[in-house]
Amino acid sequence: MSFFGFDTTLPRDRAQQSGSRGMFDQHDPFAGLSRDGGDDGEALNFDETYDGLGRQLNESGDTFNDDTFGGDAPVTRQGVGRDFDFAGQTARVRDTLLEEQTLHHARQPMQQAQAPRPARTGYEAYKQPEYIPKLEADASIWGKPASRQPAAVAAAEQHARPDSSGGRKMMSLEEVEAMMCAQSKPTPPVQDTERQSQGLRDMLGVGAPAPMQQPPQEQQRPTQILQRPPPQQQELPIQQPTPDYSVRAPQILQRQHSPQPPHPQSQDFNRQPPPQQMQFQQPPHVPMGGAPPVQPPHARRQHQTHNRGPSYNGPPITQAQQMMQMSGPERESYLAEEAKRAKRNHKIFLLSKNNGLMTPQDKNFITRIQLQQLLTATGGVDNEPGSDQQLAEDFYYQVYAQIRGGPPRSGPAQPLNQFAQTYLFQTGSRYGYGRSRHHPRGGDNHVQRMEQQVARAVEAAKARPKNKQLIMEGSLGKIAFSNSKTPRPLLNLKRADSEARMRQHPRAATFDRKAALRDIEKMYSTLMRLEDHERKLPPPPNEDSTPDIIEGHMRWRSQMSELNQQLWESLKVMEPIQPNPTSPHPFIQILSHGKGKKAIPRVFRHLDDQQRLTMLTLIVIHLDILDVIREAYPPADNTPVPARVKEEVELFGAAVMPPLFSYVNEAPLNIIIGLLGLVMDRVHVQGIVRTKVGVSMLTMLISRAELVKQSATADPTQAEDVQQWQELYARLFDTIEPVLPYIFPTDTSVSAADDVYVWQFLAAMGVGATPDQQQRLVIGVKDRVMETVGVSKALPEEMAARRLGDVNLFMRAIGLDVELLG
Amino acid sequence: MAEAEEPGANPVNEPLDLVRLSLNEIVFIKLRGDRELKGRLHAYDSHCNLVLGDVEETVYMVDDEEQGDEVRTVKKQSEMLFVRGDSVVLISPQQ
Repeated sequence: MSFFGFDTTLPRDRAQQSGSRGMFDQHDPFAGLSRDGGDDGEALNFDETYDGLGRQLNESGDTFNDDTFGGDAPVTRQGVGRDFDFAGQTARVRDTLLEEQTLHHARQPMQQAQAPRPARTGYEAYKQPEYIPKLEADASIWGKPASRQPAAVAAAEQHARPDSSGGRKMMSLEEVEAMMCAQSKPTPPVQDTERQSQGLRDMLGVGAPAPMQQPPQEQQRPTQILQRPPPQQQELPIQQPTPDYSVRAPQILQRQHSPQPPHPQSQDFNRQPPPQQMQFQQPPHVPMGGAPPVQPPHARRQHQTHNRGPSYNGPPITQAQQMMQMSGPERESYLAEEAKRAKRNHKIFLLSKNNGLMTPQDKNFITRIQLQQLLTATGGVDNEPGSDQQLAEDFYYQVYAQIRGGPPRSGPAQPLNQFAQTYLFQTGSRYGYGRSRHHPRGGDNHVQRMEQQVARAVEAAKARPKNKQLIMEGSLGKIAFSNSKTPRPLLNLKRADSEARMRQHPRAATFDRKAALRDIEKMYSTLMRLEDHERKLPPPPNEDSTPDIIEGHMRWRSQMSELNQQLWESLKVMEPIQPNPTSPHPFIQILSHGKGKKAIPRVFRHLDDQQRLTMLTLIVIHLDILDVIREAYPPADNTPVPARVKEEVELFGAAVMPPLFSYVNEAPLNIIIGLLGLVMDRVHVQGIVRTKVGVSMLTMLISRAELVKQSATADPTQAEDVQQWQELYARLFDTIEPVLPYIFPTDTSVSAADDVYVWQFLAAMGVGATPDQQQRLVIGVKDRVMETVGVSKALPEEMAARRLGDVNLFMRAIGLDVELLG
Repeated sequence: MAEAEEPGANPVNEPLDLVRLSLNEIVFIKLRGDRELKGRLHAYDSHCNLVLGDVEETVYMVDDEEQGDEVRTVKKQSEMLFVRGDSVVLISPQQ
């Protein structure tokens, strides 16, 4: 039934047929094959299947096979021949050329005897036809290729000229071959830089230029240094054509007849200068061939722009005889220059010994990994400066950068991030295009691969059956596993509020301290939240910003004012002032701690004018309760105040005074008057005046008042204020006058005392004093003044000057001077 | 020492909040290995790692075979100390 006539019955069916066979007679699958043609062997009979079409084919194109493929013999290299090796052949002929030229030039009379020195000038290698120069890129790459043609032609022409006219034809052929050699030789150095720039382009993800020539360049790869050419002097562009390493050799020999007068050549030279001059002056790097030293005046005119190193200004020397031609100093300078060059080349060689170990792709790979790490380290996708992730990464640096004021609204890292992102994007996309055939896994390989692996792991974990509880046999209970979605629940405890309140009273003292500390910490946390929020200031909206921006700004401002309110409350400034408090005002308590004092400058920045005034008023009212005054009151026996108190005093002066001072300096006179009135009424002035802080506060107020008064006296509307001030001042003066001698610090001797603040206070007082009051001032402090002047005579130069200057603050204020006292 | 609930205070008063109150204050620390420190607390964290300034360290040593309760103390001074939290036994405000 089948197409080929096979037995199509299935084995099982066949087995049923021969079921009686039993186990000995297994089914033989190949049984049918040995059957002969028989009944169904028609398909195997090929005799009648031949259709004879092949015989009808008539092939006729094989006539010249023997000709083409060389007859009976198999094709061999020798049989094929090497006629295509033009460069090699010319190279071989070139030696002959050189020999001929040498002989011809040698026939010319020489001005100087040739020194039979072995002329190892280092340029011998260039005479070899296959020599590929090492390390140095030929500067001729910068020149236009076209210029080399006429140059080579000119060189060839110059070869041609000395020859007899009979050799004209041969010379032209030689000239052509010289041209071809010239063309093959400069390409190595060109491709040197080409390759290097290709590497750079790879790095930057820019498209590549046309493919370069490969074969002769494999040796160049280890040293991809773009280097200036050996400093061939370019000052004589008109003289010689562009040198190639190949053409230089003939030119070297040419120089042997350079001592000749240039007249026979000048004609030819002049032919070439106009076109070449333009070309060769443009790229000053084009190294020109050496010129006869006979043309120095011309040479000097064309002095090259970059004269490197030693002063050798002549043509490059390629043969020993030229060394003889030069004078001594020239020779020395030339040798020095050669030595420098050799040293530099050696250094470069050392540095670049291991160049080329990594392919550009490897370098790209490493760079991308580094940049990705950089991105993630500085916040990754969320690159907005000041974002929470960035702050979490490196808070102090971010804040420092923002304080220093980086580029507007962008942290210092942002440009780098952008660069990194751009680079990654470019190289990534380039990879995606260039490697899509080899790497079908996508552009951002490493990260994506990692993500894929993580996703796979998560899937596997999900697929695995997971117990929610662990129940061990024989144990009494179940252990529940917790994860991020179902954390372990905390215990619920009832808070016993009512008890707590009853126990407050007995513990007043320590509780006060605790409360103060807690207040301080609460204030700090509010302050930090406020500062954080301030950092998030959105860009200021103008008229044409979108509603979103404006809304964002409004939201920010409302949040800001809310935080401000919280901060103000935490400061406890608004707590009512009790007439006879058992414990100090909460705010004053806060101020009693160092950390409270330190917070004031930071807090001040966020308070508005009204709040600042309130704070200042509160401080002023409680002046004699402040710890820095209360505890700094000099004890009766003149023992020094404890160090801890001194520290607090210093801290107060450094942290709290400046912001208050800045406020006072802008306050109007009436406010000053009000404050000073409060001081007079509520504070024990004679007590506070013996402490540094008290004196400083008074000085602050008085000096500002005096300043304003001087400008306000001219203004009639403020006459009342001025009047008030005068009265207040008089009251103050009268109060202080009795204690004037005691306001000086007593804990150290006069010579070591730091009493500048007292003199400042006295100066402030003296400025607004009437002559009578001034008199009284002087009487009060006269002893101290004399003492100070006397002591300063024994002090070292600098200290004495300082002390006298301090005293002079006061003396000048009342119109006197220390010098008057002698 | 009872803590009163203040309006607006931190919702969770945990023990380390008390340590927070002692920042920049002189504290007394007892450490493992019979050591004590007294200094100004500058910083702490949840491990009880501490940064202390102007520290005086007291080491109590018992000489071998001493019958009486005679213990030697060795005192050391440091300007700044970082203490690893796992050896901190207690932190207390200055006595």
